[in-house]
Amino acid sequence: MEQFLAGLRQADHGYGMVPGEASAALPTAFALLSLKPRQGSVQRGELQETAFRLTRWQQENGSLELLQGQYPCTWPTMLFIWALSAFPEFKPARDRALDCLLNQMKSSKPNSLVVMGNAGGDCDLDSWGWCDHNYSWVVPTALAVCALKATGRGGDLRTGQASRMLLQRQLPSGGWNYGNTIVLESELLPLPDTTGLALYALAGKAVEADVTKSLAYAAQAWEVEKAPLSLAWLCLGLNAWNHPVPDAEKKLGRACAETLGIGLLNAELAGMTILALSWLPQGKVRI
Amino acid sequence: MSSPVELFGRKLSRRDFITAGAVLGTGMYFGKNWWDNIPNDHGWRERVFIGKAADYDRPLARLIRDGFKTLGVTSAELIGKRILLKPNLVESHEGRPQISTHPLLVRAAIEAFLGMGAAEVLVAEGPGHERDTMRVLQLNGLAGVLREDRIRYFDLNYLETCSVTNAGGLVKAAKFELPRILQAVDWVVSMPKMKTHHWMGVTLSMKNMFGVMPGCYYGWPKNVLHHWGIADAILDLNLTVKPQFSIVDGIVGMEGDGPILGGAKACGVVVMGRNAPAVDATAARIMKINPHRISYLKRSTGWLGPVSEHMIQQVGEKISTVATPFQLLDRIPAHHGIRL
Repeated sequence: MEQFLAGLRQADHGYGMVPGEASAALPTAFALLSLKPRQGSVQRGELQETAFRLTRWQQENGSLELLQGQYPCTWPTMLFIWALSAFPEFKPARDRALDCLLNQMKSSKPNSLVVMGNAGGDCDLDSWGWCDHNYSWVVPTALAVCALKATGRGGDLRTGQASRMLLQRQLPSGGWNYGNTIVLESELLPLPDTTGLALYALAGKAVEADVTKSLAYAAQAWEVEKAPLSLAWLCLGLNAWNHPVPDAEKKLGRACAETLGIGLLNAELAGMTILALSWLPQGKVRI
Repeated sequence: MSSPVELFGRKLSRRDFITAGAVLGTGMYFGKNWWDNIPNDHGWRERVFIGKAADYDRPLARLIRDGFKTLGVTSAELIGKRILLKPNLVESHEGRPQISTHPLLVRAAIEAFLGMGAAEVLVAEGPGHERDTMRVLQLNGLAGVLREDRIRYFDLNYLETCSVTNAGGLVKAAKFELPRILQAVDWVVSMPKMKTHHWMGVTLSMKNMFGVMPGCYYGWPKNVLHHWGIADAILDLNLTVKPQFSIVDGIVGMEGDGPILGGAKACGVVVMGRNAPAVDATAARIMKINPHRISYLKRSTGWLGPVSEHMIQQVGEKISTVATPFQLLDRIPAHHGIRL
C-alpha cells in the first residue's frame, strides 16, 4: 500500500489523488496523515518536504482551501492540522489553521423538520459543517475533534462541546450516519465509515456506556463490510475502544485489491488503510 | 331601502346584485385555480417512451433500443460519441435495492448506447450521503458489472472540477463547481430510480442531477443545495448541466418515505426521453402523482420543457395501462395534495 501511495507522490513533494494526477491539498494531507506514524519506513526528510508542500496551500486566514478563494469548505483545514501535528517545525502554520478552525464553529441546528434523536438534544452546541454556508455535520465535526486531540487540545471546552454534539447525533439504535437521526418520525440508518470515525473521535471524550450500541453496530459491520474506507474507519474506531478487529490486514488487503480492480483506489483510501493498520506492529497491506 | 342598480339597461334588485356578485366571485376563484393548475407550456411538445419490463432479467438493452427507435434517437447522432451515464446511488444498505438504480439497467444502457455506435460509455456518480463510494457500488451490485464489463467509473465527488456559470440564477451562487468530465462528454444521461421523496414529493431525472455536485466541496450530504432551496437548485442545475437524455428505472421503484427508507414498489416500467421535465411528468403520472403539484416540475413548464399531458406525446405503453399508485404518507408534508 505504501508503494501505491509512493506512486502518487509528485516532483513537488505533494500527492495526487489518483495515479497521474497533479498534486493537490486533500490527497497530500491524507498521505501525510497516514505516513507520519510510520516514520521508520519513510525518510523524515521526505515527510518534511511533503509537510512544507502542504503548508504552501494554506490561505492567509489559516485555512486550507480546495478551491483557493472560491468556495470556503472547511474540512481540509481539519486534516491539515491533524497531519501537521507530528511536525513541531510547522507549529506556526498549524496554529494559524487552528485559529481559523475555531472561528468556523457554528450552530449545530439541523433542518427544522429534522428532529434530534436523543430527547433533549441541545441544538445550540457549536460544531463544524462541511463548508461555511451550512449546518454542522458528523464527519467535519469528528475530524475537528481528531485534529484538536492530536494537537493537545482534547481537554478544551470546544472539543468537549463538539464531542457532545457527536453524541447527540448518535442514532437511537446505535451508529452514526452523516448527521441526521430522526427525519419526519423515521429513524435513519447508520453508515460504517461515519460510525468508525465518530467512535475514533470520541475515544477519551466519552465513556463506553455512551456508545455501547454504536460499538455493537461497528463490530457487526466489521464482519460484513468489504470496502476500504469503511473498514479503515471501523478498524480505527473499534481499536480506539479496545475492541477486537480480527483479520484486519487480510480484510483491508482484499478490499483495497477489489477497489484497485475497478480503478477507484486513491490517496485517501490508501492513506486511511495505512493509518488504520499503523497500530499493528507489522501491519502492512499487500495488494 | 336602496334603489335598484341598472346593468345593461336592466334594473337589478339588491338581491339580484348580490347573487350576480357571488356567482362572479366563485367563477373567478375556480377559474384562477384552474388557470394556476394548467400552466402554459408555450406550445413546447416532447415525446416520452414508456417500456414495460416485469423484472431486471428481461432483455432490457433491447427495450432501451426500442425506446431509442420510437423516440427518433439515431445511430447518426451517437456514432463516435462519449456517453456519461449518471445513475442514482445516494447511499446503500443491505436488503434495500430500491434505493439505487439497478445495475442491470445500467448494463443494458451501456450495451444499448454502444450498440448504437457510441465510442465510449462511462458511469459517473457522486453519492450524496455516503463518502464510501466503493461500498455503495458493492452493495448496489454495480461494482461487479463495472468489473465484468470493464466499464470506467468516475467518482464525481472527487474529480477535477471547473467553475461553471449558474445558468438559472435562482440560487445564491453565481457559479457552480462542477466535474470537468461533464464538459468532456457528448451526452449526460440521467438514470434515476422512480421514487417518492420526503422533501420534494418525487425524485426522478431532474433531482438526480444533485449527484453531479462534488461532495468534497459541497459536503455529504450536499446540504448546501437544500440550504439554497431544493427546487431552485434542481432548476439551476438542470439549466446548467443540460442533460441530453433520461432513462428512469421504474421496474422496481420506491414508495412511502423515499428516497432512502421507503418500501419497494414493483411498477414494471422504464421511462425514457430527451426532455427531463417531460420524462419526470410522465413518471409522476405513472406513480399517480400530479406533476403540476411538484414545485420544480410546475416551474419547469414552458421553461425547461412541457409538463402538461396534452403536450407530451406518449409512445410505447400508455400511462393508463401501467399507472399504479405509489404510497404517500400523511406525516410527510411534501406528500400532501399531490395525488393525481
